[in-house]
Amino acid sequence: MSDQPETPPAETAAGAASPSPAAPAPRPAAPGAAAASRARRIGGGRPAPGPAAGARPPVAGGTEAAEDVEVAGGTGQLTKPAVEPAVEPAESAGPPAGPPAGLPTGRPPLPIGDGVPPSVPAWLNWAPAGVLVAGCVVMAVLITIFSHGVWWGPDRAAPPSPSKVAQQREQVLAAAKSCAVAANDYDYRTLAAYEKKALACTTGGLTSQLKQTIESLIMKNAPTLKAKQVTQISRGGIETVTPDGKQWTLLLFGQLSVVNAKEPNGRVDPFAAQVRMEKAHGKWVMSKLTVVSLPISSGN
Amino acid sequence: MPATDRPTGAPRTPRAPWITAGVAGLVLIGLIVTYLAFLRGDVHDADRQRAANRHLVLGDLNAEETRAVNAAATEMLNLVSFRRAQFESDWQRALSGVTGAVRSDVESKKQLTLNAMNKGKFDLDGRVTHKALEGPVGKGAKRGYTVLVTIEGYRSTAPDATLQQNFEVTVVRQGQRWLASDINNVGISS
Repeated sequence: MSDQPETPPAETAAGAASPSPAAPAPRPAAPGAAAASRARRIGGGRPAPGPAAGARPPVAGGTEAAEDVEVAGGTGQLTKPAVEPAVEPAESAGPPAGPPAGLPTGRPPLPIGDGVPPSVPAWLNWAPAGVLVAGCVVMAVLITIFSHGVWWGPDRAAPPSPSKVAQQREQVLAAAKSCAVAANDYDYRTLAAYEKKALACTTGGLTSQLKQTIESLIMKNAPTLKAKQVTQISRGGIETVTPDGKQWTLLLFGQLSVVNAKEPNGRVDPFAAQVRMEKAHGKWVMSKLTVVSLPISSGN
Repeated sequence: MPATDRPTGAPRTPRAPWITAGVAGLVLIGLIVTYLAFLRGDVHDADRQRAANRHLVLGDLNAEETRAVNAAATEMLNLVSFRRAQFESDWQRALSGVTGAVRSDVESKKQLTLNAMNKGKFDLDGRVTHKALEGPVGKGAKRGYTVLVTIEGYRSTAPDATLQQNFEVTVVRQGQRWLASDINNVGISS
């Protein structure tokens, strides 16, 4: 709110365009009255600074009617309608209804309702903590699951342990040595037991091949020659293992001690055989037997 | 919100939930970082290693054992294969594959072998018929393997008259090479 007198643009333009020297000097509008009037028109209260509505300064010419009458010749000025009351008693006389919203008053605002801020339920205070703790638990569980076999538990990526490999090799090699002995050890006096023991250590086509060999050669000739044969396996090695691990090809070194009627003092031959082992009915047995080294001389 | 901002008589917001939430938040962040920065990479490495080991069969020869077996078989073949025309190079090739007492033993038979070949006018040749891994021997720097090798050797003048020999060869690693340190002809024992 300014203390300067405000003049309507139309009035200013008319006065400035043709000022008349004979005419009385235009009376400036009373600043206090104009401000009060405008303030009343916009519905506001009384302007803070400025004189009261009734304390207008005297107008040039000594009459106050000039401000309410339009001056002939256009040199005068119309300040406000004549019908407009100078003072609106209802607005000015009424008690203040309180400061408008947003205006600083210097006093704290009165609380709404009972004056106590709405309280938050106690459990709601723990909600963020609960959510985060639950997230921690879920994440810990996931990490525990995903790290199984990586950070703890059996290592799924590791190759078989050396001890386990050695144990498996020993098992197959021992079976191969045992079966090689069973298939080559015989005594002309116990051929039936020999056949049963030898065939029990074979599987697949080798069973029928060995059966045919025993029955057509050994059982036929051994009693006549009183032949006995003892096999000793001293060394064994692994040649190959099939990708599925079910067939092992082994190399066996040893010697054969042969005693018969032609060689009563016996003869020892080096022995080498290639044996293929398979697991049948939970037991490692031979599926193929190939003699690698031939006896120095054929005694039987 | 500080408690002092509240008017007198208003209930104070307890700090325990917020402290708990802060600690839980830090733990959660740590767990997430652990997963993303460490566990995920280790899981990928484990999967890759698992795929690489998938073809391995329990008991089958690994890469090192296979190299040792092949080295033993090759050296045994070199020890029975000499040509008179390139005797020196053949001899050096055979000598480079042995070490220790075997090397000195081979060196001592150089002239004897050459004289026999020149006198009989034949070259020596052979072929490996079988090779198998017997097992590991030694420990530490002297760790090696024993390998079973069967060789059929023959003279160039009588290729059908082969001589079957069964060898137990001990190979040890020197640098990147496997050298034969012991050779036993497995024959008849009393």
